[in-house]
Amino acid sequence: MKLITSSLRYLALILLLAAIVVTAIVTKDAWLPLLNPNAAGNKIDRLPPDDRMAREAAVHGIQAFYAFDSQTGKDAWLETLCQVTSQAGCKLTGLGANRLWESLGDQPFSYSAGIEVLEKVSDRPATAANGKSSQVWKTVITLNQPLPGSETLTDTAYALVVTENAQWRFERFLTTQESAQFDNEAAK
Amino acid sequence: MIHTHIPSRLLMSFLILLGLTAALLPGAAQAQTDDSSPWGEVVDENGNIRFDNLTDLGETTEAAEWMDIPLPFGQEIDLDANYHRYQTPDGNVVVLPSPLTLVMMATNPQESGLSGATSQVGIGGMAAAEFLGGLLGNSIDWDRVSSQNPEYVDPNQFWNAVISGQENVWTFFSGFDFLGDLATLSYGDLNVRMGLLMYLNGATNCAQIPGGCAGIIAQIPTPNPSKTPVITIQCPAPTISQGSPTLSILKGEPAKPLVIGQDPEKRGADVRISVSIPPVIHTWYQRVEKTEEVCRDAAATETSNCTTSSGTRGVLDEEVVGYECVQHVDRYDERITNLTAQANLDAASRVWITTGLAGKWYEATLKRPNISLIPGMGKYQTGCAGSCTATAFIERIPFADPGTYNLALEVQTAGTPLTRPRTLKGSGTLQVFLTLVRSLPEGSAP
Repeated sequence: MKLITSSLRYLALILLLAAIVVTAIVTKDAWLPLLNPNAAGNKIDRLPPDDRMAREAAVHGIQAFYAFDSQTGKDAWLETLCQVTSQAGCKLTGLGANRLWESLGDQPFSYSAGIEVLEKVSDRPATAANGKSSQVWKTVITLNQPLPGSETLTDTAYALVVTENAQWRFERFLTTQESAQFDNEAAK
Repeated sequence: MIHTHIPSRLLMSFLILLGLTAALLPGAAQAQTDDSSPWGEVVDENGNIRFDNLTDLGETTEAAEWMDIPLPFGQEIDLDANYHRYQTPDGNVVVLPSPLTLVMMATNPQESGLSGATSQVGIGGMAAAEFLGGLLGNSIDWDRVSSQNPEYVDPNQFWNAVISGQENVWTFFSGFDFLGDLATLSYGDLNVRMGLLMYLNGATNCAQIPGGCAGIIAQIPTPNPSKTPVITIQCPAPTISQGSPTLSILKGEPAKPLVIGQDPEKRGADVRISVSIPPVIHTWYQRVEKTEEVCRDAAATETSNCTTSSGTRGVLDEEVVGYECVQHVDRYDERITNLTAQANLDAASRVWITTGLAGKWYEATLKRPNISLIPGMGKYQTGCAGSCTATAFIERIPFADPGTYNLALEVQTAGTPLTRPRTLKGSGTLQVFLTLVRSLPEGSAP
């Protein structure tokens, strides 16, 4: 009898400790920042400030890129896009803008994109030889409707962002060949 | 150029690359002595392009799949390949690709014809490895190249494999911002002398050369032999002109500066410098077809939509009826890269101090006969607006020795895409006075 009573006490103690541990894990977002302010917020908030801004630049750039709207037209699209891209990215996209819009057809259209940022796959800080920092972010783009000639709404894309005048800006999408190295690394 | 600031790193790579290419170009180096070199038609013994010997075919753009940049969802940024071309009297064609085109050719050497083209001399196949290394080397992940291909002990081995199509350079990039930077460069950022590709017999084989047959002289069509033949015109030869630069280095205030030891206010003397270099003006002519709509005889299989002048079934068509020359004028700034100024006491004054003056004053010696004004005592401002100018004003220069100073001004320029860098010189003089006290007997004339 004494043995059973003693075991029950131990069991209660173990259950109590387990409950404390579970509660601590569940409520960690509430008390962890008190010990480490850098651990506050969600996963995005906990990114280093530079990465957070680079990530935002990728999101804003991709959203602006896939904001094709036949009512506002190509010139307005390019103007809006260039407000969030680097000058080089603006120039590069501008060189092919006419044909890109021709590929959208002559029917009325309005596209928008949702962006899920998966991870940063490349980070090159500025150097003495190259004053621009650059990062590559792997993203998943979901369009509101398929583009002409395509049946898919979702595609994976690698977005290049660079610093320009101390601000992160979207420059361009990596080509399939450029991004193959990151896909290969992920496969390993 | 859209940018106000050319990416200096990229531009430097380009200039280094093109300089290297020039050293390896058979024509640029051998044209001076080798009359049989086809480059002799293009480059003179001083390395300048012989524009008077070339027919400027103007700029040509063409759609090329190897210029396309793929996007997500199967889309593409379809870019045009862009060339400026010249034709030699022997029928060779010299091609200057735009910077972005040149790089896309390098990243797609097979499709673009950069490698494997038998008519091509110059960059392709000879200096191509160095060419690619100079242009793209900073953007390659060399650690990965080495780990995946330990057999490459030299970067050139890797680049040769790229040219031959054994390696895909796209998969080894680690820095990706080069492509956008290249899009911001224009022909004006190229050193024209160094970026040329020559295609032997290009006029005859124009279908195989970059830019195709558009504008090639040997390919002038005579659409209807039964009609009066269209007379070809020869446009005026291109010209390069530049106004004379002006350089001045002049004495400022005061009118009669004293040596510093006798100058109670330590005023010294001022010197003004002014340089102005007019731009290089390149005037060239492009032959353009004049066409008009005609009603020509319809073939049996064609649907007639007009009646010919002889009353038969006809089809409306464009016909070349002649040619005209369109004048183009390009201006290139010749930037000032360095300016130096010196004030040097002339030889006669030195002799006067060390012999004549020392004979009267025991301690008379040369104290500071050579003075570096720039750098040392002042800075210059430079810029380009119409002409490229430099100005400087050096105040209160303390001259320690009396006499006549030779003022020497020397300016280095960056040259232009059409002309070489050069050194310009200007000169002036400045007199520094010494007060001599002489005791006179009372009543004598001074």
